[in-house]
Amino acid sequence: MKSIAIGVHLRSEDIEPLAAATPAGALFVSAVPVPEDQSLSDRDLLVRISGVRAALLERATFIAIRYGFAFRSAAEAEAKCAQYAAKWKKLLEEHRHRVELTLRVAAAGSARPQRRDFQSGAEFLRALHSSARSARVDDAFRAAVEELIAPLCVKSHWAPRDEKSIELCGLIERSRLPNLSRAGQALKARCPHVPFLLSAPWPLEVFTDADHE
Amino acid sequence: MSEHDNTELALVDALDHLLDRGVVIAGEAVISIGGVDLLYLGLNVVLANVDALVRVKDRDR
Repeated sequence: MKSIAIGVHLRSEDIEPLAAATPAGALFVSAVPVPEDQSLSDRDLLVRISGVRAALLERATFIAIRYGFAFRSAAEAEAKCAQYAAKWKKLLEEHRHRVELTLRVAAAGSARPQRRDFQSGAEFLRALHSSARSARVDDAFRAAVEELIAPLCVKSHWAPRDEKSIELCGLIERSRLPNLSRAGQALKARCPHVPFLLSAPWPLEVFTDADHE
Repeated sequence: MSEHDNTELALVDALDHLLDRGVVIAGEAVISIGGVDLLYLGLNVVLANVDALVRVKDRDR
């Protein structure tokens, strides 16, 4: 058997019995055990883990581990997480009652570069990066977001997601999620012409990055 | 937009966050289904203000 990691948590009772809790120093890794030969790309497995992830977040805020990390022993999980453990514990204690939100909006920007137009992969990747950075969002929409959504957040920042979209990432108190829902409706009413997707709650991810602290 | 569509949208967004979000512990697995690389799908297709999407659907009929 192997265990597919889902997140890092402060307490084992935040995990069990929804998932297996594996001690990793002072923290716990939530995971779903699967047969060794189970493909990670199995659609049903993806949906199942997505569901467990959502249920875990209902319990308590945790740090999300990107899908794909599997371990076979507690020692392996602890060793892989050891270098981040102290920082993660501090973050989890500080943001225990907070979750992340994302607001994605279609961006105006340059067309996606095509691989065939570049001689090397490096040139293509640079062009792809540049294209994503050049994505822009409608000024009026951005102003509306700054007025309606950003003030609900403890922290927030805009980030280009790719050449087609920009995203506002926010950290918000769980108790303010109903306010966020109302703010989303108000944003939709004010900017009915702008396609966007506002979603929350999500586990900690963007705000585990020191650059956004 | 129907409740079914909203459910689909929520699931797709959840899967997107699962595949494209979270701290990376040890490298990144490339997840693909049917030969389509999900990490590159980006799920931009679900960028949808509900009303705008309905209008697009109506316009395309």
